[in-house]
Amino acid sequence: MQEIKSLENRIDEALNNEQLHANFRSAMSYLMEKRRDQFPDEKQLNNEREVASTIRSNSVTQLPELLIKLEENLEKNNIKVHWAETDLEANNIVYQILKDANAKTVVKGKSMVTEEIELNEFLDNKGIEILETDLGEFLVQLANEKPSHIVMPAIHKNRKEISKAFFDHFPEFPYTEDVDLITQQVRKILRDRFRQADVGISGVNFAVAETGTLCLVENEGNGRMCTTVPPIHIAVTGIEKVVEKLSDIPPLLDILTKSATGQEITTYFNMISSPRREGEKDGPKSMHLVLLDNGRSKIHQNNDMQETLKCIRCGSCINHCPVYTQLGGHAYGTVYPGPIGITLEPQKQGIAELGELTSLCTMCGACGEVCPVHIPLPKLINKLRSEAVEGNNTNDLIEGARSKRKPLESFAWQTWKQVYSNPFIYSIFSKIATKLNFISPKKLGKWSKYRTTPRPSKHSLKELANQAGFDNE
Amino acid sequence: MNNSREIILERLKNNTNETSHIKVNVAKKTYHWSKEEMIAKLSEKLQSARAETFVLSDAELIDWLNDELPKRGIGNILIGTSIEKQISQYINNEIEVIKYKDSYESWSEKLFNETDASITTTIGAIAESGSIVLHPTPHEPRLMSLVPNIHIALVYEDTIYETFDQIISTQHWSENMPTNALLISGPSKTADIEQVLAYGVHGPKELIVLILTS
Amino acid sequence: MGTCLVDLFYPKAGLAGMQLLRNAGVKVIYPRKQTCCGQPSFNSGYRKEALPVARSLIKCFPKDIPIVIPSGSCAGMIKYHWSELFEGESDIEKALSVAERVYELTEFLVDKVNIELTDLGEPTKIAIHTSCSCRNEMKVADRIESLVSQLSKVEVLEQERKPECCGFGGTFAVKQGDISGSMVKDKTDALKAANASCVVSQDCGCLMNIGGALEKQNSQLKTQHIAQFLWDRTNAGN
Repeated sequence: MQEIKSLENRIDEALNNEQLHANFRSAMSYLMEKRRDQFPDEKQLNNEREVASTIRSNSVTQLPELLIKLEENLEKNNIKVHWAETDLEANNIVYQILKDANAKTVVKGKSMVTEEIELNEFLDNKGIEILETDLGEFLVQLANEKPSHIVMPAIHKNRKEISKAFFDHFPEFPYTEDVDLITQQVRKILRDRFRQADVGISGVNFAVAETGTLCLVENEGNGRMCTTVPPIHIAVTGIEKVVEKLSDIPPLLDILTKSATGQEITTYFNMISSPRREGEKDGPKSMHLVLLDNGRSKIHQNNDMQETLKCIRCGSCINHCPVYTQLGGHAYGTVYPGPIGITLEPQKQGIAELGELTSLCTMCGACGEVCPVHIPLPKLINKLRSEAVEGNNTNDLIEGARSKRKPLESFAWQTWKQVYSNPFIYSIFSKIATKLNFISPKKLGKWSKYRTTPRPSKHSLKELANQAGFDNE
Repeated sequence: MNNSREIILERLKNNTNETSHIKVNVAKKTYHWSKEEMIAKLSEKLQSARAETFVLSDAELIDWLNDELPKRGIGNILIGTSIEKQISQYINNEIEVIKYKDSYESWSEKLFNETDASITTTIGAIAESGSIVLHPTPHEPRLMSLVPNIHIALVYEDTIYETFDQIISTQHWSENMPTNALLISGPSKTADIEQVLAYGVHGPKELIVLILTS
Repeated sequence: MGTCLVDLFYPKAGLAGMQLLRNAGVKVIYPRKQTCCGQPSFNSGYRKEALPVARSLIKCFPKDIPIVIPSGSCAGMIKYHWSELFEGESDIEKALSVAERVYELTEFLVDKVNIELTDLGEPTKIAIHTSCSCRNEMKVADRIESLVSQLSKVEVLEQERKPECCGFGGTFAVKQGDISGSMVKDKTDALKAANASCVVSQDCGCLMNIGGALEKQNSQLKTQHIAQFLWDRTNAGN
């Protein structure tokens, strides 16, 4: 699909794309404002975050018990449960279900976890027709691209780009940039596909262990179509999405929709507990749930980083990240971008592979301030940085610990340490830096591309303090 | 497959966390709304999501249907088998009443392509969020509220709850979940193109909620 | 505490802070042996190097009196991150006792000193840049606003996207220089559009970033640390 570019190249490309910059600026401002409007009362917001955080903490700390309970209740409800340790396994499980049913066409609702395992590519290679039905994903699929945001996949595209991609694929429709008209045309095209599809695939927002219920949020109706019309429904979820009780759902649903798109509630909230029962006239005749691990159980074992799994995929951290606003989603090169992405992905794929991503952060803390379930993202990102350069490389839990340690950088920090941990050495360094400040470098790499280079003052604060008569102790 | 299950659970269990289960302290929200306030709140929220609401007495329902359906160009209406008799007896002859009596497979093309509107009951509504709640049954299958362009929903005023939490606990959902429980809060929509709102993407383009007072 | 950045690059700001406190009747002690809180290497993942540097700082502040710091980011590092840095270390209690006593300068001036300011300067229009650490970590963004509001001849102009990070992020400005450059450009664009004559801030890191960028752009817009700004306004000419 896309050539493999380095992170540096992707960043470069993103920064030089003014249209992209404008698109993301406007989109992120819009999303931040919508979220703000939903939470006018800070005290109440904090209470709601506390509740959501507790529910999700419980989910994570009791994960094995809850998964067993979930499986038990799902199976009781006639939903077949499959466990997949790896992405390949999950893909094979899905493919096997299709093969057994002689299925050739699939309609799919929006699901980040299926992006994660690259389900579409896998099934495509097996000759299965798989069609994205969420409007944003549909448009992104037409343009042969990947989603750039976990909630609003086509956020990087403007109207012109969308219209062009659409009409290149469907020349039988008259060209238009009218959003309503394009929407109606997509509706027409997809109605037939829903009706004729052999299998519907969806993700899961929450899986309730108590009742064996899969919950899905959406605005368009395509999720309901995929999970109701075709004779087979396959749901795929990360193992961490399970919650204990049905009563946990209202507070989570509330804070999810408000944080994600600034909506009090989505158009549809779909709670599925079984396939078509005796006497019922519609709904899938059989249902499957695939529980995907793909690195999550390993993260679970790491007490320092376990909170990563509390995530409910609202995208709020992404919307508030100033670095994401500059780059957009594609530059990260991973399925999950932004703060949650740079926390999750290096843990899943190893630091050697993706450790660089942790540099895409100024530690501004905006993400931690908005996370509805109190994931301490800045702290986790910082911890990953530490693992990357001074972690224990026999550490089983973080793959590639210490792999980003570079001799030059570590030497620089050790030198810095020598100077700054020793007041006497520092005082000499400070004298040189101030008195001989004219020899301080004029250019400091990339810094100087955008700013003048700072120069030490002629007198240090210590000197000024002396002059002004401030006591030493 | 079984092997993966054991591997995954083993890893998860191995990490014995001393942190025990923390009690979830949800302050159950109560607004103490009167019935009138509930109806008003429900209507306001639904309308802000571009649904239409009407408050009618039981007796006014048929008249409303006979008046409005032709006005809106609705030539046929899909009805579930539980309320079919009450409605079809009194409805105008020009409006074809389609009973959802057979399984979906036997008439899917007509459902998708030739059905103008549907009318369903609900098991309640949630005033706080402006949502109607459906538990589809053999009498009123799931696709009724999804496929036709126009969905008309009947909400009985006594079944309006303040919050989602209230309806779940009062109706004891956790004891017996239906195949599919649905919260519907407006017509189908999207903001995927430049964050511009567009309606009627895949689900109904119009949602009409008739709040019935006895 | 002065902070490492202030000691070498913005000593006048540090001095102004101390003078403001002294003028308000506070006895100010400036331990000469202080160097740095350890944040630069901590944020780069080099915690082992940060520890001895932080330790040398502990020695400078043995007395149970408030430690006032003219920087939200350094104050935040000590107050909220030393617990992580010193985790498992034998002297964690000492570190935490220092952390407990830390205040950012404007926080201390407003909350503890209840400072009263009389504006002796000429009428002027300024913009306020609230640093991410003051806003998100120390939660003291409103203190700078409150201090400035006491100055009768100073009008505050609001810039767009005020809460957005300026792109400094310490080593981020070097490691991801182009992203940082783009961020500071957006920030300076917004500040220039506000049409103020000066930008004030609680953090010198931000000032180095924003000020340096403005200078490179040949802008007339000046930057100043809040301590220096307040000192100048309330001691015009002194």
